[in-house]
Amino acid sequence: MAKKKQAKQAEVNIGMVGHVDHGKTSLTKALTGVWTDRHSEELRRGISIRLGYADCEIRKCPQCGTYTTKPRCPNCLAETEFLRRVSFVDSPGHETLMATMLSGASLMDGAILVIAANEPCPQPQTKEHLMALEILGIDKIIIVQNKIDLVDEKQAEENYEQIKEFVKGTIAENAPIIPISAHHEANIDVLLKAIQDFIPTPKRDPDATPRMYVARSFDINKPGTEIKDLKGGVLGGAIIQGVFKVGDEIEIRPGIKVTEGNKTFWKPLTTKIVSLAAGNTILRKAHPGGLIGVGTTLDPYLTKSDALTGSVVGLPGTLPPIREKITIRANLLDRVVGTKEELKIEPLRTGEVLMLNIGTATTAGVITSARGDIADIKLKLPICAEIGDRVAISRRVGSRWRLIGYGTIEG
Amino acid sequence: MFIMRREFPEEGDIVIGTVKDVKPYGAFVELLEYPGKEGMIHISEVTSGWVKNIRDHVKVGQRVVAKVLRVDERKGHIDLSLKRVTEQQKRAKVQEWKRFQRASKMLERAAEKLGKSLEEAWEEVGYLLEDEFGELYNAFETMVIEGKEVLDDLEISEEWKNVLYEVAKESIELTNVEVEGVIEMKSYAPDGIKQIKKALTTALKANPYEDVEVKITYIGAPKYRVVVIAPDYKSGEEVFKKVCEKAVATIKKLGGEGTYYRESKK
Repeated sequence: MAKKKQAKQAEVNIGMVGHVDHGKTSLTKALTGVWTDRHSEELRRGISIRLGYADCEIRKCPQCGTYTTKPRCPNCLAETEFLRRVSFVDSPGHETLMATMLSGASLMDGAILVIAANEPCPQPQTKEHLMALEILGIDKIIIVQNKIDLVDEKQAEENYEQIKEFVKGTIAENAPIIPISAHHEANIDVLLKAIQDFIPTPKRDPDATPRMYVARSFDINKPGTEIKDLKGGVLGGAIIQGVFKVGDEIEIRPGIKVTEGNKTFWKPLTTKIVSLAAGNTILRKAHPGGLIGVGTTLDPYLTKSDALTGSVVGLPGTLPPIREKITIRANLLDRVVGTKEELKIEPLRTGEVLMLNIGTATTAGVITSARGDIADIKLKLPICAEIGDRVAISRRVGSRWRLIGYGTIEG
Repeated sequence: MFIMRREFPEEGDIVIGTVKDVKPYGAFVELLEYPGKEGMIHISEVTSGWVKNIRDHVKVGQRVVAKVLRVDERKGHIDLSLKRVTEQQKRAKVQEWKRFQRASKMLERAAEKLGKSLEEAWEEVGYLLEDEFGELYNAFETMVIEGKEVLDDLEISEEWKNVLYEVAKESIELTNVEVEGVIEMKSYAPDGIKQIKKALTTALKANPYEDVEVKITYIGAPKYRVVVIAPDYKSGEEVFKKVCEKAVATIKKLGGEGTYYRESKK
């Protein structure tokens, strides 16, 4: 068997999801060596995301068969072989950051649902995050039973049964459940094998029209920079199809709001790709996988402070329409997840305000007409979307937005 | 400034002096610019409002700036007023006197180098320089800024020119002034960052003076800091305006937005 060539860029995105404080960031650290919560590195690298992001290599020992992320086998010290580079999207687990989680979920090819063994299952955000995976159609899932070092065997078994009961009838029904301790990096090798087995790299069409969701955008110039050293704006996000190359002309939608005469409309931005990066690695071209930094020739005024988050990038003339109103066919859950007491979900009402997530975009919308499961919605911010795209729907419940279901765009 | 050239001041002049004596009805002031001459400030001219005790307002030894009301050369009487001098006139006079004293010291030092007295210096070059430059200090300052050539057309001996220039250089350090401000620029073009750079680079070339330096650095889009370092405020302001207007005009011509404003010193 020929040795696989080591890749510069990840080929698959795996989300870390679950309730707050169940160990998602610690698990990301155990797998990648990166604390994704250190966003002060953003400037140093020129690219990072508020959704935590980190890569690792999955390797295997040719001697004893152990899976590892290290160049040398932790068991028998033999040199390991490269299998795949994967990227982890660490999403916030706090209930107030559900919109960020939904943005992150749109970048995932698979997910690891992290559940703490020392807490009853399910916790509110465990439910909400699993529901989000279901709504967004992310069906390659591994369940990690974390903090196994803090419970005895009986508690672990009880927790395991709670997990099985919880995922019965859901998209994660057949997901493997792997006990680990992220803190002590115990059983990480079993998890790596499961990732290889259960979250395969999707088949990608390299000739597909390139498209990217923008998760963040930046100005990477520091105060005091001399004029000759100024860099253009940077986009950070995930490529969902096709291949982008340095030198490509690109279009960014919805773009910017312009007023000409007394008419206001949204105008796409165009620019050129001057650099591509995956973490610290410079690329000449980039395919789906990992978080990609795209350097452009735009005025950084347009990209600073995540101004272009939620945008869609593609070659000029290839992007979906900019929509300021949409018609959706809704599929609502029976009950609100994410709260302690589950409330029954009422049908959509004309005049109701919703929060909608499409790709990495988040926008409010007012229902102008609700009839059965069809709703016409006027959007506060426009989106760039195809007919058939999925929209996550959240409704205000108490003082929080709660996920209540999804819709597909019909017009 | 005409020290030692007129015996008496004229009506309306602003003069500077030292209080020598205070009487119940007024104060006697020795005039610094008119050696040996004394003026009197009547109690009614000390301040607006009623004066109960003149000693509450003026003291022996005090430096005062006064306005000349009347001059009787025959009797040697000079009537002065304190209350008719504005604060601005007072400040200007004090500044003028300080410059005169400093210039006089420089002149004296130049005279010493030639083994001459201060009186001889005034007779041979001092009054001539005053007539040409309006003020002796200004003569020295102009030499430093523009060079010894400013003396070329004057009927002054070469050795005087040399020592005057030498003393001027030793005594006067030019201080640059900084004019600081912000340009705000935005571009919506595909190559917006290139257009920003072009506008700012073009702006730097709008500076017409060799002895004025301009620096432009980044603050955070859309703001760019402009610092002009110039020998004087007039040219500093001029260059600042030229550079900023050039930047704004360039980015606008390219379809962007621009504006600029001065920034006060921190």
